[in-house]
Amino acid sequence: MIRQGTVMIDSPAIWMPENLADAWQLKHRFGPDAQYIAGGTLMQTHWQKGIECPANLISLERIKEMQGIIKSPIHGQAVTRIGALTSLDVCRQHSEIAVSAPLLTEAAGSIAAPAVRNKATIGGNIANRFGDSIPALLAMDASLALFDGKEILLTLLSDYIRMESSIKNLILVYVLVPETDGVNNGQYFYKKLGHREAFSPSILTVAGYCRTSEQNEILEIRLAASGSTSPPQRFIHTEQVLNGCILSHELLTKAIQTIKDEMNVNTDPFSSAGYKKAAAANLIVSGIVGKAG
Amino acid sequence: MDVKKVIMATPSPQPVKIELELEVNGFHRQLTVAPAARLVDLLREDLELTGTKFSCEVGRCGTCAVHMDNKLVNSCLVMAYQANGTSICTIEGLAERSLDPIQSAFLEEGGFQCGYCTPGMIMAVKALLNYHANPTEEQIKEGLSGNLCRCTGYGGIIRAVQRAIKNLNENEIEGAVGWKK
Repeated sequence: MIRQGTVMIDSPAIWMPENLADAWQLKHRFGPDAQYIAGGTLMQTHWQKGIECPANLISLERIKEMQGIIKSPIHGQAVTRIGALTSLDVCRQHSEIAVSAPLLTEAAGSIAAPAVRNKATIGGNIANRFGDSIPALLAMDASLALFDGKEILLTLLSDYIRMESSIKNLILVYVLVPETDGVNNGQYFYKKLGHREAFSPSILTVAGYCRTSEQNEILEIRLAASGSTSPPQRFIHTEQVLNGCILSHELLTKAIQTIKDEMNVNTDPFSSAGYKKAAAANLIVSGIVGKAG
Repeated sequence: MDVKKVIMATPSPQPVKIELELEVNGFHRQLTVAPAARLVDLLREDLELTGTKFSCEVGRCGTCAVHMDNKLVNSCLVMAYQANGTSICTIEGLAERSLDPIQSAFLEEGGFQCGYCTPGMIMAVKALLNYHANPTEEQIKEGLSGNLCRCTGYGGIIRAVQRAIKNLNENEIEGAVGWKK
């Protein structure tokens, strides 16, 4: 346990493996008595709140496969590969990301404050399952590379967020973000709703992508939301309802109700589930109208 | 400074200790500490650099802000093993022969009242101006978004930052003129 103030009690052992296989072995060896750690900014706040710090922390910071940002075509598609150890500040300021994935630039800039962003990582923001980068990455149809002890598996982020807790044993190695195509009328939006203007835990974060024809027919759409107390989700049903339809007042009215019906969200001490559903629906529809209407 | 990261602690029923090497305000330091000890505690207690304050202890208030390898961090959220081999600059390391222009600007503009948030605030401003020589008001607010002040209402702080920018630009011009002479 680590406590506030000046006394350090029962400091955990810190393990610093040099590669994915060693990290995996350590986690396998210690099981629930160990946890992977990168920047550790969120985990430390959990310990301060009383959640017990495990006896072993497996630092991932030396693992080279988890570092760096490179462009690499996959199956003929231009993709930006972002190492899971990349700090949120680098995500915010990196010129390559600003061009190829501007929604991630925007999302990273909305998370916490500069001092936290310098240490917090994109991998941690995703792996904690409540990070504000997740809706943006869902809107961009990002994939994740996960190490399962033997090999690296690729999975869509939209599938990852639905996986059970056993996923915690997998190591998130890097994020694959398809390059934004600015020539096909596709547009992105991202909006975070917090308790104050800056450095505020998200009540709700929404993001989306909408591509329309010249006749305003929706050709492709992805919609997502999350919050600091709400698990991330893609609005698959709403997307199905909207796809192939011509944007109209009636359609957007229907979309508002569909989003409310589909959204899985809880009441917390600050905001009711009903409020979050209404806010998410309004923000998403205004995003569609603003970007695609 | 070339210091290798050396932690590979072995689990033990007793709290483990590591040999920590880092540079603090230009001086090489060696400490034997728990690997998850917080940097803010090492600075304040082991090194007696009490200019760095602490308050929320969860990275929200910014009073414990320092620079680690020239980047702003909350020292309450940096564990000892993460600081190993790094270069740390605290509020005590800013002034050389005279106050840093940012410190002077806070004095001149009344950028503080009780002063508790001021060291962290100044470290945040220093980090901001290292990246943006002439930040907009929006960039100033963003740069200080992780630093809370409960006294000033921020008006004096924003003025102090703008004064610091002016002071630094004037120093730069004077330096350039002096160099030409």
